[in-house]
Amino acid sequence: MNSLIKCSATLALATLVLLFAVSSVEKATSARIAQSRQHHKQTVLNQLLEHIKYDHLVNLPLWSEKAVNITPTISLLSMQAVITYQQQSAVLLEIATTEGYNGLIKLLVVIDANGVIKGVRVIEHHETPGLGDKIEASRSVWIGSFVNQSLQNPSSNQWQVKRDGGQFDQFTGATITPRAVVKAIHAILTFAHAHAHHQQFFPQPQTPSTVTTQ
Amino acid sequence: MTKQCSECRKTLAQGIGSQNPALVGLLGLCPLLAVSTTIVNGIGLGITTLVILLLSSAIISTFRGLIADEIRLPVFVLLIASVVTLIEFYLRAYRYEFYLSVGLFIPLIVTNCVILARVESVAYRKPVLTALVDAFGMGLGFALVLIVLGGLREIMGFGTLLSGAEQLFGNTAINWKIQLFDGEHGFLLAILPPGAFFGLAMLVALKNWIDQSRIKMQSVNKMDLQAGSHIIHS
Repeated sequence: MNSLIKCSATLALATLVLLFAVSSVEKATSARIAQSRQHHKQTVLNQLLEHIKYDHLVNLPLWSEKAVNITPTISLLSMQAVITYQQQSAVLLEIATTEGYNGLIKLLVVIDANGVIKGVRVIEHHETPGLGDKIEASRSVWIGSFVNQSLQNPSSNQWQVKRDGGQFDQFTGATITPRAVVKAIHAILTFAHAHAHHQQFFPQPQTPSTVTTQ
Repeated sequence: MTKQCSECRKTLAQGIGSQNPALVGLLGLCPLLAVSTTIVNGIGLGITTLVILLLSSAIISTFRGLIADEIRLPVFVLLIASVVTLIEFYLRAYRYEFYLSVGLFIPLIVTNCVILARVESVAYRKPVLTALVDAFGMGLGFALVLIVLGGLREIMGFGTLLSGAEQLFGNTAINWKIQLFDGEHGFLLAILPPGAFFGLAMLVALKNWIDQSRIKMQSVNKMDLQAGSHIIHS
């Protein structure tokens, strides 16, 4: 009986001490972790907008409170207008697909007013190291193959990886990951095309003196 | 003091060589096979495992008098899981790029039986210094296998060495990547999971071959000596 109480007490004490250690370290590092994540997102954003002339970004409201579901697996998380000379020159979309090999892949896509892709970057993924992670710009030039593509170029049936008869490379040892990315980008292009003249997608400029029609 | 030193050296040599957790014990195969696709992943996960092993061993060894025999395993698992979580926080805060690339496998270190085995068989029974030396030897042995296997698979599969070093060592390492041949002609199987099994099997075979030829050498030497002494006697 005595040893039972003693054992329980030891176990409880160990749990409490370790819980305290973990939670205090979490509190201590949370600001730094958020900073790292933000820094990473900013680095990716800078790379993405490196060759695009722009003055600033403006947040655009989404249709609903939360993410917009484009398909059951692909969703639009946020939209930002890319403003050049007080006019919207492109739209920056943050999208997510759950069709990756290991769940969620988050992408940033820049589409200009003509519906042409100006750049794509991955900001979060959980793909297999060494195989599926070639979707990162730091590991492979693959993600650059979307630049200057649009809904009409290539044609709809070419918007697939080569194994499925399309024009985009898959990776040796990993087809599911690039397939998910290609599908998500095609879906967002289709979506952007359908909403190209939607007021919120390419909104009116904010100052009345520079009103231009899209 | 010198006796202690030789004892330490023996423990270290056991961890790296004769008792190597990966090559002899065949422990911790999950991270070994999953992460050893590149040398940088190998170095990163090897060091992470080493640090976790050192911390867990030190803590368990310090408090070994307080932990009753009946509840030692739950306490070990609790402690190892907490240490792994702490290291994960550290990596997310200060090595975010590296965390993004192998973060998936960090929580799996909890289930690495090398750590549980060393904590149970050494740290729980020996003083702190002995436990630390043992943990260091074993961790180093495990890390070395991870690094060698990662290097082999990276060379064969991608034709590169040290790609992605900047994720671990910062921007100074951005040009460390060595392209040995065009990655297009890489041996795909090496990067896939079967390649890890083949690679590990080859390393185990190599180690056994070295061990055996060493034994053979020793026995030959002994026979020579005996033969020599016979000649002298006769």
